[in-house]
Amino acid sequence: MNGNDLENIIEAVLFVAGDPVGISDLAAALEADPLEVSRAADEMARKRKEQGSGIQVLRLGDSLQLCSNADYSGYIEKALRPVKKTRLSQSLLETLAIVAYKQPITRFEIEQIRGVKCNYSVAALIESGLIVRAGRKKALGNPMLYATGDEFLRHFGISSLEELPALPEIREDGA
Amino acid sequence: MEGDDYRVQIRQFEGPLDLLLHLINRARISIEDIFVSEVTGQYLEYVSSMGRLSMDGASEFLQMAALLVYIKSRMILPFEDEEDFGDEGDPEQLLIESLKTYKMYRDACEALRGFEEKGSRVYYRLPEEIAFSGERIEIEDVSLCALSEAYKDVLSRKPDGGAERIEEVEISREIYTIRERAKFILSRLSGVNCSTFFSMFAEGRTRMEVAVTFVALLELIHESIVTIKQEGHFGDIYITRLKEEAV
Repeated sequence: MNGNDLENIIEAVLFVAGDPVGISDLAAALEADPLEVSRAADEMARKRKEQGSGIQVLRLGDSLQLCSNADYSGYIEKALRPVKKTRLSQSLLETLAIVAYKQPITRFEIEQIRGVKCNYSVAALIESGLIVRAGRKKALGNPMLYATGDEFLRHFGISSLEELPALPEIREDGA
Repeated sequence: MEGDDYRVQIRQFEGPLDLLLHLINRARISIEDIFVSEVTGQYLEYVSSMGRLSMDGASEFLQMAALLVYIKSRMILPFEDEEDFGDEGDPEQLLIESLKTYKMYRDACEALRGFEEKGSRVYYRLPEEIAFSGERIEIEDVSLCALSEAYKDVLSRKPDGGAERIEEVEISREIYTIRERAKFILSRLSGVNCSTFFSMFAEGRTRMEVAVTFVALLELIHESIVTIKQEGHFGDIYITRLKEEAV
């Protein structure tokens, strides 16, 4: 199996899967080295991006998924009228931003930063898969810890948390 | 109504820190200068104007108000210089710190909004529905006749000799989709720009047809493609097109 075969096979599997497929699962099924699969996927993603192909390869952490090219969203919306994804409300986004930068974090710690109760926001974010439970903190009462989930990467169209902009510095002028 | 105004106002702010940042911004001062500005006074004014608002939503605002009054009072009254705050630290500095931290995440939110917009333009497909075969069952040396005999045998074991029939239920295909109905509504609006909901249906309409068309109409309103007017309950709905869309 040469690199080209590998790319084509990965593409076919991803097309049928629809959902994200783990690189390790792909490697096991193709009896290939995970690193090789990862490299082939990157190459495939690069080519498709370069060609401006309608279908792009999205990397979500250690998973791969096919998605439509964002540049053509206008045409998709005209042709198919898909249900528009809703923007997160300000309170959900604030809560999510804190989890994204401070994960794993407890709800109490989030509330400390926001200065308001966050029961609802945390529950809603879990419901949507944007955050997930990530064990319990070894502290009084063993509070639940939260971290971002795969859906977080998908919602913001990024491949890993490292793509997030660095947290703005605390500016002394407070402007 | 007075009470309703407060409700709208409080909805605008995510909490006391949000409100304080808003006031600081409006006063064009830096966070450090909060206690030598009008901001704390404005905050207290705002909270007292919240008036009859339910305590549920207002408790965090009131807690902050109490803290601000406490800090202000400390500044006015002569205190010993070396006041002991225990592990907590100076409440004034603590508040300034939490305002800064909160502001940092608020700024991060704005950056995330940009990513969110980009992410919302990407679409995915649903998984292919494939009946993946599980374990294979190998049957050897069995003729069709033997299978048929075995089947009869099973049926005959039932008390009524297999005469019992499962009641037949006809499941008709759903022929109406929201997307198709939305197109239909728009097609009825082409050229005329105004039509009525009742006129969308022929004599032999079905309940499903009316229901799906109605949902499609709601979807079009939601997308600001059409607007509606209705004169009283159960009256006809007048549908007017707002903008041109490719159908």
